[in-house]
Amino acid sequence: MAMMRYAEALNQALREEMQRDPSVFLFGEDIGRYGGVFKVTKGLMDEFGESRVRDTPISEQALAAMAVTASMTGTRPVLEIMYADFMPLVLDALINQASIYEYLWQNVTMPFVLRTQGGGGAGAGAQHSKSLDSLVAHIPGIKVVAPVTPADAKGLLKSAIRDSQPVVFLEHKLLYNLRDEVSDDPDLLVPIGKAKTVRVGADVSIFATSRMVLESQKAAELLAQDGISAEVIDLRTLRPLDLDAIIGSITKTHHAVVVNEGWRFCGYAAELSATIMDFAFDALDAPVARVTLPDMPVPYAEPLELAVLPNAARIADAARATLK
Amino acid sequence: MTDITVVGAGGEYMESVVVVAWHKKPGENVAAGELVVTVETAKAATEIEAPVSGVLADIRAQIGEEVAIGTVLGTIRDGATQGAPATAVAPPAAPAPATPAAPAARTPPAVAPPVAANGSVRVTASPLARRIAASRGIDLNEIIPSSPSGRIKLRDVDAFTEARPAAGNAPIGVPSPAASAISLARRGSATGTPFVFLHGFGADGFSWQPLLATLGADHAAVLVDLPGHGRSPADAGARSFEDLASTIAQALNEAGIEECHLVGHSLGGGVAIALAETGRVVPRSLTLIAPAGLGPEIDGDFLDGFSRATRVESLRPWMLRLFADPSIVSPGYVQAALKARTEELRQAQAVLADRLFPDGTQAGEMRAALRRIAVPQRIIWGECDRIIPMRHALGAGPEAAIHLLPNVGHMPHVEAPSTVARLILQNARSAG
Repeated sequence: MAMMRYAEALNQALREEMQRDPSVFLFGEDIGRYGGVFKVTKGLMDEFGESRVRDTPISEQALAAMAVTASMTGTRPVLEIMYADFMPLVLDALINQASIYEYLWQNVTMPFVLRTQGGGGAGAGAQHSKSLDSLVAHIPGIKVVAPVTPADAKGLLKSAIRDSQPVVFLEHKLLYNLRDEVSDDPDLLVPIGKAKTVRVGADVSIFATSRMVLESQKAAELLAQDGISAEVIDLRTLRPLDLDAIIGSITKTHHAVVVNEGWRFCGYAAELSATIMDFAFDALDAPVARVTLPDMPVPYAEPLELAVLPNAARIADAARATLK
Repeated sequence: MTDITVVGAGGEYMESVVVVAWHKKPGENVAAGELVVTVETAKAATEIEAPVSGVLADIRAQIGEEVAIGTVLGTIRDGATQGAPATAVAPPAAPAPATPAAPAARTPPAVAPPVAANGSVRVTASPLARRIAASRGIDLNEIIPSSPSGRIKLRDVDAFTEARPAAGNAPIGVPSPAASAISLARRGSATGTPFVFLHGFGADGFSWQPLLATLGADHAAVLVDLPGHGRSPADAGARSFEDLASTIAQALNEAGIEECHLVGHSLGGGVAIALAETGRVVPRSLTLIAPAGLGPEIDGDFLDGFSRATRVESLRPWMLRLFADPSIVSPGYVQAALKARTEELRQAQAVLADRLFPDGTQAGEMRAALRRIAVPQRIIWGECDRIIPMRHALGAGPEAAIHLLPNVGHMPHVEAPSTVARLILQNARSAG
C-alpha cells in the first residue's frame, strides 16, 4: 500500500500494464514529452520510448480511428482525449466502427482504451467542463467506467487495458489530486461492472459515479444530521450496469436518488431511473429522484458555475423530498 | 334506515352478484339517485343508485364478495345532522330510526377517510405500498396518506396495520372465508415456540410424519393443510403464494399463533416466505426444503401428470419422480396417496397448479422477499431433485445456509428425515 494521487495511480497502472504486455502503447496530444496536461503519463516516454508513447497532432477523429484499427491488428492502444468535451469528434469511430465491427466480421476484437476527463468545478468554461457520460454509455458494445478513488482508478484502468472490448475511461479534472491508499500489487484488478457500497444505509439509496460519489457521501453526512440513513453506491462502471447492487439496495431502502453531473434530458440519470423502474418498481415507495446539471452550458463565472453543478446540498434535498 | 339492495338490470335472472366497487364511504352523504355501489352480474357491471338521500351508514358487502340477489349491500340513514348538500334534502322514503343510528358495522379508521375532491376513485399509492397492502389484505381506500404528495407510502400502510384491531378479532380487508376451515393439527409439546409446517403441492400435513418421528415430542408442531389439500377446503380465490399465505396467516392468528419457526417444503416453501411477508406471522427461523418461488423452472410434466392421476397406474410413475430411491414408492404408498386425495381435492389442486405454475413455469417470484426476511435461514435441497432444480438454492440471500443432500430427491423430509430434523432444530436454536 502507498499513498498516492489519482493521477499517480493512473500512471502506475499504465506503467505496470506496459511492463507486463509489450503490445500496450499510448498516444494522444501532449502525453509524451509534456507528460499530459494532468501529468497522468509523466515519465512514461522516458521509460518506454517514443514508439510506445506517442505525441500526436490535434485530430481527435483520426486518433480514434487509429485506436480502432491498431487494436484490430493485435495491439492494445490506450488513447488519451484531453477533454471529454471533444468526445463528439470521436463518436463516429465509437458508433460506426468500434461498436459494430465485432458484429459485422468474424474474429475481430478491439481491445483499446479511450481515456478522457470531463466535469465542472474548475472554472474551465462551457467548452471544457462537460460530462458527456450518456453520449458514450448510449452505445452498445462500448464499456464505460468512471472511478472516483485512486485505488479504483488504478484497478479499473488495468482491467480496461486487459479487456477484449473497447472501454471508455472517464476521469474528472477535480479528482487528479485526490490522495488515497493504492495497492502496489501489479495483479490487483478492479472488475468492470461491479459497483461498490461506500456507505451503508437504510432509508434511501444514492447512486453516483466519479466526483458525484464524493458529493453523495457529503450529502449522506448532511442527511445523518437529520436522522436519515442514506446508502451511497459508487457504480464505478456506467455500462454494463451492476443491476444486483442497484436492485439489492433499493429492495432495502425503497427510495432512490440518482446523481449525474451531465445534463438531465436524455441523460445518464434518466437511464438509471428507468432501469430502476424496470427492475425494482414494486420495491419503490416514491418516484426516483434525479440530481443533474440543468439543461444549459456550464458557466465560466465561479458563483454561476457553483449554482448549477450538482452538489451535496442538492442531493440531500432530493433525498429528503423522496422521503416526505 | 334504508337498505341498499340489488334491483333492476341484471338482477331479475341472476342468483348472485359480485360487489365491484363502493363509490361512497361510510359516513359520506349520498343523494337519492346518486351512484353508490357497482356490482357485477354475469352480463355486465350494474350501477346501483341510492334509493334515498342521507348518509351511507354501513357497508355490509365488501368488494369482491359474492352476494345473493336481494341481499342488503349496505344501509343509508337520515343525514340531516351531517349537513347534507342543499340539493340532497329530499326526505328519506323510509321512516327515520327512532334512536340515533348504531355505529357502522365496519367502522372507518379513527380519522375520517379523505373524500376525493375530484370524485376520482383511483387511489394514489407507491408501488411498494400497493404490494404490501395487497399482501396484508388491506384496502388502500381506507388509508390516509401522510405525504404532502398525497401518495400513500409504506409508512402509512404500516401505521394502518399497527392501528387496526388485532388479527383474529376483526379482520380488515377481504376476509378469507376459507381461513376458519383451514386444518391445523397440533403435535408434540403444548408449550414453546411452535414449529409451523407447510407441506408441498399435492401432499398434506400427514406428510411430515416421518420427520416428526425423529424431531421428538419435546417440540410444539403445527401441521397445516394448505387450502385444497388434506382436510382444508379449496380457496377459490387463491392465485398466488401471497393469497395462500394470507389465508393461512389468518388461520394461524385465529389459533393464537403469531411467533413460530417456519418450515416449508416445495409449494409450502414459497408460501412460508409469503407468510413472513404478511407481518401477521412472525418467524423466528425459516427452514425451506426444496422451496418453490426461487426461480421459474419446475417440472411441468410432473404437475400435469400428478394433477390428472386418478389411478394407481397413472399416479405411481409421477410419485417415482419425487424420490431418488424408487423403493420408497411401494404399492401401498401409492394406494394411500390416492385414497387421501378425493376427486374434489384433485380438481382443486389442478386449478391451483395451473394458477401458481402456469404452463409449467413458476409464476411466483419470492427471491426478493426471502432476502428481506432477517431471521436465520436454511435451505435444504436434494441433489437428485427432479421437480425443482437444486440451483434455485443460490437465489437465497447471503446469510442463508444451504444444505445439499446427496442421494435425495424432491422429498428430503421423507428421504432423509433425521438429517432434516437436525437441521431444522439447529436453525431454530441459532435464532436464540
